[in-house]
Amino acid sequence: MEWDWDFAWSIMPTLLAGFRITLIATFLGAIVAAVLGLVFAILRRSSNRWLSRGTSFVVEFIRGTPLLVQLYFIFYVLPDLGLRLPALMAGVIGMGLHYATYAAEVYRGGIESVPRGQWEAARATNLTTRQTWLHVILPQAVPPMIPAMANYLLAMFKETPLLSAITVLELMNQAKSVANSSYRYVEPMTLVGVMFLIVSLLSVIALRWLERRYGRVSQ
Amino acid sequence: MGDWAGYLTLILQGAWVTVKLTLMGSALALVVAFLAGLGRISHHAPIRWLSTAYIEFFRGTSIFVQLFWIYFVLPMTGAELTPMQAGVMALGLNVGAYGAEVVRGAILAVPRGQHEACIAVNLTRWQRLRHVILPQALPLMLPTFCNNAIELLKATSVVSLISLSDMTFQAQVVRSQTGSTLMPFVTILVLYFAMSSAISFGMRRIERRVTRGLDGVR
Amino acid sequence: MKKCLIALVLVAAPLPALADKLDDLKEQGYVRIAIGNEPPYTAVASDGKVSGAAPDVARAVFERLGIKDLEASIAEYGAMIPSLQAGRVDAITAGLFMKPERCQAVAYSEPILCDAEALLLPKGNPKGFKSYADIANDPAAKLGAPGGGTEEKLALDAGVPRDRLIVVPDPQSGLKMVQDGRIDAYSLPVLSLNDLLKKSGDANLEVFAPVEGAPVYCDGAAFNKKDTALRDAFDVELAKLKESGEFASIVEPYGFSAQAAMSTTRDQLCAAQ
Repeated sequence: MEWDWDFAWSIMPTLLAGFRITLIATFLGAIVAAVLGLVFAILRRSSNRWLSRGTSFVVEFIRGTPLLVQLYFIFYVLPDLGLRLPALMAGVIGMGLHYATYAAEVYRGGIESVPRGQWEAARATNLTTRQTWLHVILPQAVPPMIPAMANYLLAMFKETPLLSAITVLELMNQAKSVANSSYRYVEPMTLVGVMFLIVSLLSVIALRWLERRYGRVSQ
Repeated sequence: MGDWAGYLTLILQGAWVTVKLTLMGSALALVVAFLAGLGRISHHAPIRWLSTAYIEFFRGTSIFVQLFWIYFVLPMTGAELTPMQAGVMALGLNVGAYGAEVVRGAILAVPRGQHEACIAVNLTRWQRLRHVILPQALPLMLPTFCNNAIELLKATSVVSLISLSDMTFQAQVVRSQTGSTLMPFVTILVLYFAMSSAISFGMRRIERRVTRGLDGVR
Repeated sequence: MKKCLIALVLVAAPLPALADKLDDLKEQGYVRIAIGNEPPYTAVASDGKVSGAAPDVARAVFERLGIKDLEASIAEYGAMIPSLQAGRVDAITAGLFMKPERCQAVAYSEPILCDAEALLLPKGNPKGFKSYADIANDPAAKLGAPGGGTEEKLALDAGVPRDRLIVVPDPQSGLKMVQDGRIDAYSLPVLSLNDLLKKSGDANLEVFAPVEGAPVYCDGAAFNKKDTALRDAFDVELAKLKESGEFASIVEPYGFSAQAAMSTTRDQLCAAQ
């Protein structure tokens, strides 16, 4: 068994096609996570106890069970209940839902990091709720969230290979299909690893910059 | 559906594999996390570089890639690993890399004054770490370790992809043999949730023990 | 780090050939085999016991060789040959059909299980698919097949583009995807699809068999290239099993034709294009 450069080059186009899907899935999943996470965070703050507790339970449940099983569930069980999603969309929703529970925590941490005095001051100066959020709370709450969010974005990116289990032809699946027809695992798996590593290392540099720029939210 | 009770036993066997993977993986991750975490703040540059390389490599490449590498490529070099060993190794090394950053962060979070006080009273490096720094850093690490342990539990489902018969894998087998999709998946979702709840519960107990007596300080 | 690992792989390349694999296995008392998760080739009972035509034949032959136990691990088709090469298993007995390029990669025994290819379709075959080429010619049609399996290769060769050829992880998922309309057809060997359809009891589906233009394939037990001595020993006992009629009594209850396997040879199948 040895490393074959010609073979490695010959499979690059296939792998890059998969890499494109990986990036699309990550990007769309991140949007779903950011929006749903906000919904979870708001529902959790609700004054209706049943609503906030119910949301907490759902969030805990999603966080406590593997994404892989959730994906299987969305892809194979939901059609029985009348909801049939295309593979990529099922994957995006599954990843988005899973990471929304993490995003919700970041939102909560960010909002709670704003000192009580700021709320009281806003009330004392007679600001409306809208003004309080837009001009006082969010400008202070959002910046420390950014590095934490970026961190989860990276984590989600690294979990995209799970989508291969529900037939999405992303990077890992392309690599497997190459391995299947050539019986060679070394080149495709190594190249996939290298691609992940390159993106991660670049992201780590970007992340350090974000942390310096916006500080860290303590969770 | 047929012999549902029999197939449930099969899933429970898988659950046992999942528990073993989680425990052994966590143990390995803990050791590695402390080694690499302390290594990153070592005075010796080569140790620092090595630790950084390990952490960035395992955090940077996806666990799937690591798993496939350890499972399919390492054996060709002559390293014979059983699927269980390969699974524990991938999980432990991966989560350990995340844990190392936690260890480093917690130790650096102990106020500088504490380090300086130790030097002033002439403690050795080991005494400093053992009696002053770690007792204060440990409570800071625990909540994140708890999350890491749950992440590791969830990551065990991935080993089903290298045909280690964990819970997810057994659910797939049951699904093929019975033709029922809903039951096996709902069953394992509930079991996973029970396990992660058990981890949080256990960790909270430990946390209470470790923080006992520190209330006045913090 | 990565570079180091690659270097390590390069340096330590081929494992020293084990002196006598058969003796080692006898001493060990069991043989590790890779199987698929695909009845009737393989079945896993509710107590976890592995049966099915492929493991049953392997069990009978290995017993005659003096190895009492099978340790079976279920794998995807694509992962089987790499598992064998990585030394994870000693043999593959999974309905992994003999094809020239596979004969290059592994050492096959003489033929064991023979089957034609089939398509699982909605009742009445509304789109009239009879061959892989029919699916290739319909720009909207999607075909499901196991990754790394024979069907995937046949479909690709017939011109089905990669993006319309869905890699389905296991038969149950394939069935589900046809039921849910995610794919228009799912391709597996005839007996597998018959078993799958029977178990599902779904009256809205049917099996079209055999797929036109697709040959009848036979599998054999696959061994690592360096274990040809073990393979030869396996062949000797397999031949005796076939002669005594015990072979037929094992495979026929599962629906396989013993005659088909006995009327062809590895050399023919490996040479076939």
